[in-house]
Amino acid sequence: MSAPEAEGLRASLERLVAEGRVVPAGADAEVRTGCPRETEAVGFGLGLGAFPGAVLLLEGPLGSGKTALARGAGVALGVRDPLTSPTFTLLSESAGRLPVFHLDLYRVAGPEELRAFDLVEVLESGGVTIVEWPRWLLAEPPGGALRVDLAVLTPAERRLQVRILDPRWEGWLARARRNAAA
Amino acid sequence: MAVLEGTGTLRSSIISSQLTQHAPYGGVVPELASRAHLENVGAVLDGALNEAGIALADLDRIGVTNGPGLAGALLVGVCYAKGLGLGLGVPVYPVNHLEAHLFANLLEHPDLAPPFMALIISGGHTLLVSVEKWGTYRVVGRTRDDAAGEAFDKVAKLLGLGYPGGPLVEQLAREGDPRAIAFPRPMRNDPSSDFSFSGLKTAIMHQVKHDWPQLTSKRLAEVCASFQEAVTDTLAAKTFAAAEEWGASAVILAGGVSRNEHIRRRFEREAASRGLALVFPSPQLCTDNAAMVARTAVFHAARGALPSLDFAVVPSLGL
Repeated sequence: MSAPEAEGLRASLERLVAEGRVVPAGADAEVRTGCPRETEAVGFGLGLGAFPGAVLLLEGPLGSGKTALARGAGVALGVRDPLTSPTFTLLSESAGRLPVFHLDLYRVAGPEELRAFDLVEVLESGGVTIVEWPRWLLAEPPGGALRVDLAVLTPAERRLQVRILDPRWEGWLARARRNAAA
Repeated sequence: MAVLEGTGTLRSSIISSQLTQHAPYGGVVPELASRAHLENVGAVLDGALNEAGIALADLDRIGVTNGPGLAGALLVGVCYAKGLGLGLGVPVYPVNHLEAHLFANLLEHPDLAPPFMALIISGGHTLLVSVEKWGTYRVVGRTRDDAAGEAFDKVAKLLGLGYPGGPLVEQLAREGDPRAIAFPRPMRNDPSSDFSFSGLKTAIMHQVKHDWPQLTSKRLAEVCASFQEAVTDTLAAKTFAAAEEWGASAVILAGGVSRNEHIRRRFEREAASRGLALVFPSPQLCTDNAAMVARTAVFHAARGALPSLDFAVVPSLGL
């Protein structure tokens, strides 16, 4: 992880918290971001709160910030090259503090095509799996999952609804902020 | 699959989808169709040998892509090539798909000599590579989000042209004024050689939302042309700045997006005004093909060392 990059994202995350833009709803949360950088900061927090076997399901339309969020998570997980959109490459693997698998199911026509991904192998590798366009996984989310629904409010603003689907994600924000400060 | 004689005589080049277009496997993503690849690989080999007019036993060596790509699809090719190599008693060379895109240029321009600056633009990659000599590469710039080809495909989707629709965007852009809409040029003035196309995609999205009720065909052409102009501006500015910084005497284009005529013409003008040579492959060698893989294997064979048969597929292989 490049230290200045992580430091910038940590500061953005703290600002989102300080300005009350992270609104808790039980264990879940809603965040309003005003630029791609802030969406990346939320991803940074999720990356710091992640654990071996964690899965991030990023649902939202084109241009809503899924890849920005994934990139922030990648920084937190210490990957060397920034995560980029895997729409065409379908699956990319990076080495970080934990192995990071970045998938994009945009071009995948149906659940039967998922088999070609060796998804079970990926999910059971003890790494962190980030899935864009996870539509074929939403009906029965895998273990370790957290779901983020991203919505486009204005050209700059996005609403991120963070929903915990596995109890291991509970307290992720507090854990992330502790890890960031350490 | 392709049969290459010597360093430059392409005896045949077959793309699997040419043989199987009448029997689609049902999905839309060829890389996911490992089973279809497995079923087709024998027929494609026969086709390539027939067209070249040679027998299996005439092969001296085999090159095969071992990355980057999806593990399942790579494994089909690598396992088949290894089996073939073992049976024929000929060496099998693992080839990096990205390096092969560079070598596509050498097939038609055998005198092409480094140092040069290469721009690889495709659906999955956007890389600026300083080539000091063949085999020695330094990635000096890359996209931070979407690849150039992906931006074209996603804009096509936003415009209701289907996915993938990059070539359709280029076609519509011919009828439009490229200066009609001032779309952003992300990273254009950033000192690094990196690219970003995600913000441009988002700008198009909002433009389309704004225009949608009266999105005339004239307006559609303007959006396509202005988008293509923004991508071309950024690619050209970054590439020629990097060429100067790294002392390149030539610029080369590679990858599927380098088929784009608008991008080719702009690069030709920019290169000419700077006294740089510009080289790009003919369209069928821009997109993924086996001829470039064969040419890369010939280069590695000429360097001497015999490859061991125990190489693996490397899905995230870089340059």
